Amino acid sequence: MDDSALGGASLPSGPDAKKRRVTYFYEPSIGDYYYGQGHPMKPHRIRMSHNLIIHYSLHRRMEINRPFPAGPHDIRRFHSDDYVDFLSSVTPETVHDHTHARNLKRFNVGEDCPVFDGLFSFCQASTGGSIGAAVKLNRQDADIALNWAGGLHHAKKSEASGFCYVNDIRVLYVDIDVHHGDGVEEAFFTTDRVMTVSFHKFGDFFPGTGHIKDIGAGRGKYYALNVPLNDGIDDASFRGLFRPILQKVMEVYQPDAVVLQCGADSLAGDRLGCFNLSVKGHADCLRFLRSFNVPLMVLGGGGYTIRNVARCWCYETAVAVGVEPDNKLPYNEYYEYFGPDYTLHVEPMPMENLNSAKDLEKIRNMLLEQLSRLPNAPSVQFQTTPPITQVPEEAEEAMDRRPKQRIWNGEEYESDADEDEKPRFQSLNSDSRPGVKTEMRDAADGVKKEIKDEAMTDAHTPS
Amino acid sequence: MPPNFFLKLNMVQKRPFNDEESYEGSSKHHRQLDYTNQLVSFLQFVHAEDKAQPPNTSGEVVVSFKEGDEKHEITSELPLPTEKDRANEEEKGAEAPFYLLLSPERYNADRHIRRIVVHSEETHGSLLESPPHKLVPIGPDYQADIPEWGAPGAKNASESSDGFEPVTLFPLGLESHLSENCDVQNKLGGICVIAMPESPLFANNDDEAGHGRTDCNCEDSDSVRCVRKHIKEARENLWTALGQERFSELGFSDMGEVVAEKWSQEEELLFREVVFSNPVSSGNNFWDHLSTVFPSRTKRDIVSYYFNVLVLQTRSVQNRYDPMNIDSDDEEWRGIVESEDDEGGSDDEEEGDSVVESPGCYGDPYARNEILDNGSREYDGSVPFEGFSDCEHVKLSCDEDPIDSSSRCHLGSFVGRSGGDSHEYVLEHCETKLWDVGCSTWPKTEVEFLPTCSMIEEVFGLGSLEYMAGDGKGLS
Repeated sequence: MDDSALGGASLPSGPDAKKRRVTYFYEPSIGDYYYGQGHPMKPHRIRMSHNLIIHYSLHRRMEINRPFPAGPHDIRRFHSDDYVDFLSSVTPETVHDHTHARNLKRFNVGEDCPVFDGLFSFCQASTGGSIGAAVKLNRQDADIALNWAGGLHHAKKSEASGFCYVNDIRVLYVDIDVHHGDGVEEAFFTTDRVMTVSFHKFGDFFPGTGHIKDIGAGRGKYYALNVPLNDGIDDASFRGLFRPILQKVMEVYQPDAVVLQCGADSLAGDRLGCFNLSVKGHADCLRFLRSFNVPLMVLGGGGYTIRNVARCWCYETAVAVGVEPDNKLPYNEYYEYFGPDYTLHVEPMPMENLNSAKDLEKIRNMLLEQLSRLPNAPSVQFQTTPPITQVPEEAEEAMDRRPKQRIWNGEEYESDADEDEKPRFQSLNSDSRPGVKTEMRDAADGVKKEIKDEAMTDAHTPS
Repeated sequence: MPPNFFLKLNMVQKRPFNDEESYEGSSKHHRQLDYTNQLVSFLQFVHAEDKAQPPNTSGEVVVSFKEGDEKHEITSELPLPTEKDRANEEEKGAEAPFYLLLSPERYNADRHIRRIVVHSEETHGSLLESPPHKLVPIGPDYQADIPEWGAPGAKNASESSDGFEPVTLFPLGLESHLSENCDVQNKLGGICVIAMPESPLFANNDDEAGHGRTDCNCEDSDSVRCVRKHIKEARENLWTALGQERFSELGFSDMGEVVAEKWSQEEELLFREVVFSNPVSSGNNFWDHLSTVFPSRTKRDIVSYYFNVLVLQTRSVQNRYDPMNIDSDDEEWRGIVESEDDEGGSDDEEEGDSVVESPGCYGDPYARNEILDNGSREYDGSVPFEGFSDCEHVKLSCDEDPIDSSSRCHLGSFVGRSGGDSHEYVLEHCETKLWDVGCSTWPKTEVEFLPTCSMIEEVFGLGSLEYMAGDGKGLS
C-alpha cells in the first residue's frame, strides 16, 4: 500500500477506527449535461467519479440513491422567486427572447454561467442530491451523506456565479475548493446558525472575496472564517492549518452537522486552480472531519482537470466508507482517461509553495484567536477519535490534555444541547417524523437514537 | 424605507486609500474585470461596534467605485478608533471592522451596489496585505431567510413538495423498480437503488471493496485490445453482481464505448469530422454544427457520445503515443497532438505534431507494425489492412495548422486539403460481424491511419490512398 509523507494512509479497518453508515446520491443523467464548448465545468466528471467508485466496489459499503429532483419551491427556500422563475424557464433557444434577454445580465447568466440545454434539470439534480443528503442525515439514516453533484458554492440568492446556479448547501460549512465559498458565506453572513469556514486562494483570483478580516456581521460576527492562501500550498502546509483550525471550530461551535465542500480544484494540476495538494492531502480534510462522528454531508464543487476530480472523489468516497483502495485502478469504462499511469493517486507537482511558514503561522494564530471569541457551547469539551496519521505537534499536545475520548452522540451526550439543537433539522422535515428510525444498528447508535427521540419529541413543535 | 447597506471597512485608516483599480476576479473563467456599479450618492459612516456613539471624525476614507466606465471617488470621514479600542485590538490581535452605512438616494431594486469596493490598507504580513477588499453585501436580497426554530412561519417541507416537476428537458424517468429492501419513505430522500448494507459498522473485511486491477496474463499486456477485453470483463462482472435493473439505474448502460453502438459508422465519422473541423481557437463551435448535422439526435446523445467515445478514444491515443501531453480537458483538440518541438513533420504544418514526432510513428516504414503489434494479431506490413481483421486499431491524429482547418488530419477521417488533394473519407476495413454485440469495445468505425497523408503514402506505397478510398466500404 502506498505510504504518504503524511505518515501512513492505512484507514479505519483497525480497532481505533469506526465505520460509518454512508449514503450516496447519484443522478445517472448528470454526465450528459454540458456547459458549452471550452467551458471548464464538465458534469461528466461526476459520472467518471461514480464509475470508479462502483468499480472499486465501494457500493457494497454504502446506500445508493437516485436524487429526487428539487422543485422550484425547494429551491426558493434560499433563492429569490424571480431568479428561480428565470432559471426554470430559460433555454438556449429562448435566451434571446425579449423576456429573457434583459434578465441575463441581471442574473449574471450568459458567460461563466451559460444557458445550456437542461440547465434547470441539472440544478434540480444537483440540489435534489443535497436536499436528499440532508434528509438522510436529519432522519439519522446515515452518518455521512455524499452528493458529488452538489457543492456549487458561488450561487447567490438572486444570481448565478462561478458556474453555479443554485446553492444547495446548508449548515457548519467547510469549503476546501480553491475558490472562496462566497455564495454560502454571503447567505449566512449575518447568522450564527451557520458557520462558514473557507480555505481558498486569495489575491487576484475569483471571486475576490474571502479576506481574512471577513468574519461575519451582526449576529453572525465571528461565524465566518476565511483562510486566504497563496499559490502552491502543499499537503503538509494545508494540514497544518486545517487540522488545528477545525479542531477548535468543532470544540467551540459544536455543530450538529457538518457540510464539507470538496471542490477538487485545490488539487495539484487543476486547470483553473493553483494549489499543490495530492489526492491524499485533499482527502485528509474529510478524514479529519469524519473522525468527529458528527453527521457529515460531503459535496462536490469545483474541479476542472476531470481525471483528477474523479480520482479525488472516488478516494474520498472510500475514506468515507472506511476502505483504503488500491492504487492501481480497476478496469472501468473510462480507463483511458487515467493514462498513462492508470493509477488512483496523483503526485504533487514540483511547484513553489508561496505560503511561507511565517505567513501560515500568522494566519493560524489570527483565526484561532478569532475562534476564541466565540461563546463556548455549554457542553463538555469536544473529543475526536485519535487520528491514525501523524498530526502536527501542537494539535497533538492539545489532544493529550483533553479528558478521555467520547463519541459526539454517545452515552455522555448532553441532552440539553441536544434539545436546543434538534429543531434545526425539523425545518427540513416537517412531515413530522421525529426520530423516525429506531432500528438498532449497534448499541451506541441505539442509545443515541433513544436520546434523540426523547429530545425531538420534547422539542418538536408541530408547525 | 430603503434598506441600508453595511459595508465592512477594515480599520486603521489613517491615510487615504490608494487609488487603485477595482478588484479583479469577478469572472472565474476569463478573469476579466466586469463591474457595473450603481452610483451611491450619499454615504454615512457608522462604527459598527457602537452605533450610539457619534463618530469621531479625525480620519478620512476614500471610497472609489466605478459606474460604467467612469470612476468615482467619495471622500468622507472615518471615526478613528479610541485608545481603548486600539488597546483592545492589540490585546486580542484582531481588528474590529467598521461598517459603512450607505443610504443611497437612488436605491432601487438594482443589486449592483455591492460592487462598490473600498480599498483598505492592511498591515499584517504579505499575504494579508491585499489592498483591494471586495466586500460582502448585506441585506434581504443577499442573506438566506432562516426561520426561527419551531416558528409557525417556517416553511413546511410538505408544502414544498412539488411532486413531479414537468419542467425538465431531460426526463429523469423516475419510475424505478425498487429492490426489495429499499424503503422510500419520503421522496425528498431520493429513490433507493442500493440499500444500506446490513452491517456496515462491522464490516472489516476489505476483501470486498477497494480492489484495483491485477496484472493480466495477456501477451499484449496494456495494449488497446488487452484493455478493452478487461473492461468488458469488468462490466460483465458488474452486471452479474448488480443485476440488469441496478446496472441500468446506476447508469452503466450508457457508460463507455458501448455508447457507440447506438451510432452508425457513418455517423461516427461525421462526428469526428465536425469536431475537428471546428476548433475553439478558430472561434467555431462544433456543438452547433453537431446539432445541425445530427438533427435526429438529442443534445444529450451528442454529449454522451462525445465523452463516452470520442474523448475516450483520443485519450487512448495520447496515452500510448504522447504520454507527456495528455489532456482530456482541452477541447481545442489541437492540444492532443501539440508537442514541445516545433520542428515540422511535413510541409505545411505550423505546429509540431507530436504523433508525427514520436518515435515509431514517423518516417519508419515499420512504424505501423510497431504500433499495431500491440493490438493486432495478424498484421502483415505488406498488406495494409490485413491487420484490421480483428479490429484492433489505434487512432492517431495530427493537427498541422490550427488556423487552416482544411489542412488537418483527424481521428477517423481525412479532411480534404484546400490544395485539392483527393483525400476522402476512409472507413475501417473491419467486418462488423467480428464485433460482439454488447461488448464494450472500440466502435465499429475505427480507422487506422497515419498522421499525415504523405506518411500513408510513404508507408503503404503510392496509390494506397486511392486504394483506401476506393475500398467498397468507404463512406457512401
